[in-house]
Amino acid sequence: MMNTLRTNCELSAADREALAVELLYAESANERTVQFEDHLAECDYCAFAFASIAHARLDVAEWQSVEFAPLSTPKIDLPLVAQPHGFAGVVQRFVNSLNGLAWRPIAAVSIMIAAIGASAIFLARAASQNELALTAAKPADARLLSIGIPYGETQDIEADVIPPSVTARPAAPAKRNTVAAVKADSRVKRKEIREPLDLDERNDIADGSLRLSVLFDELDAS
Amino acid sequence: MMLSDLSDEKLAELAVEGDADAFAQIVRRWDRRIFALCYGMLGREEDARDCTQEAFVAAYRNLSNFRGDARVSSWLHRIAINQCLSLKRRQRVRPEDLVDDSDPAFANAFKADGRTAPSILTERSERIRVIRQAVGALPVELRQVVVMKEFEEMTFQEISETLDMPLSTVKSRLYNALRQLKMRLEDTPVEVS
Ligand SMILES: [Zn+2]
Repeated sequence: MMNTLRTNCELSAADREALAVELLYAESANERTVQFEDHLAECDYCAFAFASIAHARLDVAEWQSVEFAPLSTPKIDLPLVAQPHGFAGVVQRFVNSLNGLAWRPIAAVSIMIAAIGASAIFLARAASQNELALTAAKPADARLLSIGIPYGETQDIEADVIPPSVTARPAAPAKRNTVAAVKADSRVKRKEIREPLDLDERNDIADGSLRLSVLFDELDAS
Repeated sequence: MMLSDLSDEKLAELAVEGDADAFAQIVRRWDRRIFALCYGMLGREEDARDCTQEAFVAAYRNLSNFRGDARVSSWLHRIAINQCLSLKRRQRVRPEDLVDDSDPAFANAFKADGRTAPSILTERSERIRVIRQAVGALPVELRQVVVMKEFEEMTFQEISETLDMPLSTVKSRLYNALRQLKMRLEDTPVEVS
């Protein structure tokens, strides 16, 4: 024989859950819970749901009463943290007094404004330094010019290798980043070492490495 | 005015200003409930004692972080739950290990009635073990509500305020916790040797 649940339930799940726990714990009793109690007599679905949670509640209550209830409450040992007195205490209390205020959003906005300001100052300084670097680069290049390396030639080589954004940076680091600059640098150093060398002849050689090897040979020979 | 007459929040305010007695009053007011919460969440007496101790110490050390507009009960419960979760993470506890049945406290719990037959005691202890395991296997958010109700004996309204959640959510979670418990308990037959 198959049992069928007698139900004509119109309660929503949320209502059933709320009414069931209210009735189970005899809390917030009102007209609705009284009606729900009557409803249980004619709705097997709700009666079954109620009986399920009632059994589970009894089980948990049994565990609580058997194991937990006899236990003594632990004695709490607090650390001997000295509360700050004097000036430190005043500062601490001031900081604590901020806790209840809506200072966090204010602090966040302040930090953002400060960050934007700092970025603007940094960018402005970077731009002015680039101008300085470009103007300051000329004397250095002029020194190169004075020892026989045409200023314009170096500029052309770097322009081919370095993107505009990089060339806008201060001259010294940019030179380190290019093959041309390293070769030119080597040339200057060699020139300093071997002043009497005929640089006009060296400049006729297109390949820098060949030129350097010739220089090394001359150095070895000397 | 005596400290015992003051609200939790007023006591917390005094404690934040350096009044250690005010904090001690908060401890006296809440130690049993926090212990009950930790016990229900962890299912092991020693762990619950350690967690309760750690929770109050953490609260005391972090008094400066207590928001004046918050409830002390919410704050303490949050700290205690965090301590429980952190302890479980440290122990990597499996649900079946929630309680060591060799724990003397566990054994003593069944010695109260000297006239009870040993077989009944064994069956009862096994039953309790199964219940403990079933509660321990509930998701934290459901276990927390059922423990606050059964171990701390809080009202729906108190749970709602402590967890800062709608009353309807509290009832729904409690209902679902009990439903899940019932199903777990039905799936786990009690074995008595
Ligand atoms: Zn129904």
